[in-house]
Amino acid sequence: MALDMESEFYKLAKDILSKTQNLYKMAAISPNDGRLSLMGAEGFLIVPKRHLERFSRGTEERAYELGFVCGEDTFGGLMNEFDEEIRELPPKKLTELALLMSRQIGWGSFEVVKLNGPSAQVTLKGTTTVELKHRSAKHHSLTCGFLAGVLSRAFGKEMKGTVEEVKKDSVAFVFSGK
Amino acid sequence: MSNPKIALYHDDASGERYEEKAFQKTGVKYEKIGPKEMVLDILEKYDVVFLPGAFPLRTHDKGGFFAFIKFLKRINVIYRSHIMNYLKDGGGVVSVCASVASMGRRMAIPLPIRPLFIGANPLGVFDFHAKYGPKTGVVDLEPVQYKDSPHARKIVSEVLGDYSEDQFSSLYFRGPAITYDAKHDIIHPAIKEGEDRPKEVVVARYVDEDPELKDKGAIVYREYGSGKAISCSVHPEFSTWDLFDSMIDVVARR
Repeated sequence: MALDMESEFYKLAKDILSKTQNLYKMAAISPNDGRLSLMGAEGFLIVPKRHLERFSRGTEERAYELGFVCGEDTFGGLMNEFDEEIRELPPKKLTELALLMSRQIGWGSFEVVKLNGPSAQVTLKGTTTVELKHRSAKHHSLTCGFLAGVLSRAFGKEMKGTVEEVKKDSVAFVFSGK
Repeated sequence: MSNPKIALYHDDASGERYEEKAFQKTGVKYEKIGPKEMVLDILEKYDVVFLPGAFPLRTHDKGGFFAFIKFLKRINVIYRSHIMNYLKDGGGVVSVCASVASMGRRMAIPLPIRPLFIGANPLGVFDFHAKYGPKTGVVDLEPVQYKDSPHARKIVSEVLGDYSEDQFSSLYFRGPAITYDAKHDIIHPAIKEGEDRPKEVVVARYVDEDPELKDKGAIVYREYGSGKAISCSVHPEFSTWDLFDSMIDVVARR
């Protein structure tokens, strides 16, 4: 009965984050502040999509910054809750968990196109993102910032994101660590 | 009653950090006690003693194969009389995940490590047989229905609190599946025989599809001497942490 907590936790987190039904079974209302808790990480709010669309229409710097803080706090909350179990997971595995989480809480589906751990370079392709109807790259700054925020936690260093290409049904983001 | 005084056991293999996270969320005050404090005189100062799970492989500064074996043997051998006398004298014990197997009458030990357990039988506070489970993930549980035993129904309601009416889910890390015999029965024999006030009641069962878990016991209540114990083989700390509140209320020394 071998039980390696790091790989067990990775398996567990994948199991929960890849199935919406499982993630929401792990949701509860925090007794401290009445906010939502996911897998024990507290402080989540449900925000309507229209709210996010409004953020995405702000200046691109402002939208990116809002997204960044949201991504950092959201994935950071889970990382803080499971600090010991995930301390040794490489950025690639943490990115995988972060993208599963991002999808399950409504930020869109994301696929890793390229990921280089040592040089902290990541290319992601997003579908069903909140700004997908917009063709201008600057209108995708909110999601770009969000992803930069979660990747910053996954890589343990600030990741800067840019929108590389916007297509009708997908958008490509490129991130690199400072 | 004022807030019960709670002790949370820890050693170099224990996973008490999960209980700590749950207690922090609900504001439960607790004190950590180590192997040197697991003696009757010190245990008697507390209304409830929590025995957490443990890590069988070493990760960072915790757990590891031999530390895990030592964790179980400490409970089964070194703390044995102290825990049993503490319970007899009216104390309350909540065991979680790995430590649950030590509380029953028989624990299924995986073959390669069986020789290390010679002379280390479980405490027998509970009558159940415990077999460590097969998977890691989210499991579904449901309250056990006792049509013919009002007392058992009351126990289910008190132990599970708000979760006594419907199915609920919990995180699960290979905790023991609980039964009473080879047929995998989870109704204690005394309840079957129609005893008015059964001392041992399985309050929640697994409804998970895994055959090693399905319909087996997950949370069990026991009166032992003047004390009370609860064995909880799942981890409620990540979404149903308030389950610990009702468990504490039930077992705390009055």
